[in-house]
Amino acid sequence: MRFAIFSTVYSADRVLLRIAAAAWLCSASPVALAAAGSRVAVFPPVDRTGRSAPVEQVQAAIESSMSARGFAPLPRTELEEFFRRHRIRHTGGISDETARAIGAESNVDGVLLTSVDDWETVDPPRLALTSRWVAAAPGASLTWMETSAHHGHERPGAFGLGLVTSAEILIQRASEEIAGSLAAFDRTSEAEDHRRVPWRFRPGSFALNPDWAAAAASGPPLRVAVLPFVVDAAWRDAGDVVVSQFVRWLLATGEMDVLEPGVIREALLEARVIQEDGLSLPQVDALRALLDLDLIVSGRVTDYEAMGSAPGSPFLGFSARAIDVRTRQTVWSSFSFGRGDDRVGLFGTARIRSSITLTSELVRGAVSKLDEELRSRRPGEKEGNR
Amino acid sequence: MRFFAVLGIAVLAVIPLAAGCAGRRPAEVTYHDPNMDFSLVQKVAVLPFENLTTANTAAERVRDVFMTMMQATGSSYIIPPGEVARGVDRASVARPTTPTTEDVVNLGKVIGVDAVITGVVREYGEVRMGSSSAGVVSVSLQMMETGTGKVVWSASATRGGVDAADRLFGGGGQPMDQVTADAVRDLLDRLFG
Repeated sequence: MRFAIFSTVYSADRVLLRIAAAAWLCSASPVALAAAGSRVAVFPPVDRTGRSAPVEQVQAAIESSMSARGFAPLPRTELEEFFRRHRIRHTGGISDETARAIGAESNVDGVLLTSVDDWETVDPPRLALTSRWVAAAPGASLTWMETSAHHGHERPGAFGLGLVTSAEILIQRASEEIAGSLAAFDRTSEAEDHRRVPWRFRPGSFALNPDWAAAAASGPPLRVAVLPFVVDAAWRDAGDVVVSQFVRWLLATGEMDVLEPGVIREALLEARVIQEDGLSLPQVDALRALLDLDLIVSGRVTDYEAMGSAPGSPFLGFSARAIDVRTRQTVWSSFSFGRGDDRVGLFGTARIRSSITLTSELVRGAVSKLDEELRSRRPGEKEGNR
Repeated sequence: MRFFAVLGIAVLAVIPLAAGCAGRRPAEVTYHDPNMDFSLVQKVAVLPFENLTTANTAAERVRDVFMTMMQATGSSYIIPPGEVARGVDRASVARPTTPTTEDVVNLGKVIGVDAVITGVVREYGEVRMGSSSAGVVSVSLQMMETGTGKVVWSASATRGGVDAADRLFGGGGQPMDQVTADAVRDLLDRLFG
């Protein structure tokens, strides 16, 4: 009985907290999250390509583009001093403790974490950057995420005038897009964009527990953790790239509170969770206790080829499944695959040359299908709104 | 007039040739235990598949696609793979790809499933024929109910390969994930069909 009463009070308390958090997220203008004049710590990008991408050059280009849009990047010396003081080596994510410390000690509003997901200097050059904004405050909340992926031959234009042969141009272009997107960030428009997904990127197989979906649609925003994916492909970092895109598109639904991957990494280390073949239920319980989660997303990258069988025809296959931590059951599973040259139009239109763009679109297709299903079950949601 | 007659003969000559090239797969055999009520199978564990191919991760890939697609049918609940691995460990199953009857019964008790599925990936990868190449997958599956450890369903499927169109027009065939999904769809149709 006592447990039941405690449980009820705890649940109601948490629901109220969630509603308050959701209301804050919805009411807070993008200006409050990342505005011109905001002080930002631009962390050194993580190189996921395995090809010695020029991370310093990328970091400098992003800092410059951010400054041009009115942001105030933290001076490099101050940032390095902070890293030294706190013995920080991993810059692929940020823990709750580090976010709190950098906010208090360096007086920054947020941290910009970037990864170089694709890099090639030989013609045609390729570059893909994924950046996210994490609040430099307790909780390390993730509020914005963007990917900019380019391929030298993506828009050849008439007489090849649009071909890009220099990777430097792509660095400039990608960093401008990242900074521009952050400056213009608007949560509602992103949620609208998220819903327009071409048919070819829809998942090949999709399963959703209807009871869970009905409860999730009418409840408070879900607190979601995306765990590292198991990788069968030759490129081991493919899992991180797919995870990044899941975080990005789940966040873009505007209906989920997606945890910063650095916070999840800390919890996995603390709970000593090693996923050999996916999560076991006791591991689910441990993560729930540490992170107060609703949903855990994990999966497997079955195929990943950056170049593909024909030049510029990448292909990708992955599955994802989500476990509801309360019922300890799989409530959503999805399997997607696609190629850059699927359903290519006349003169090669609609061909996707960048493997990161293909990844982004396929993940977006999977998340969009989930979002559609949840929205269709939401009380008061009209068909025309979808 | 003579031109059309020659064209007609050429077309008639090509049709059986193309059909011959495409070939027909021999009918794949399916076993259903006539005394088993499959609607009672609510929770299923898919054990790691045996890999008889040279592709190192073929078994994991096919198993993953199978689990996702079986879950999507909505007919039964598929235990998460991490929980299956924990169950295999706790039930001390020596060879999870080929469990004994006792192993199956034990697993049923430990992870609370009504049936377990085992599989063998016999072929996975690219086949080459002349200048054409294409992906091919061949899988056999068995379902055992955990009450007695008896095999209640088994089937196999082969999909992909070089077809007539690939040979005539030099196509590259379907990607492995597509071929795998086709083979799994075929197996699921026969399980629930």
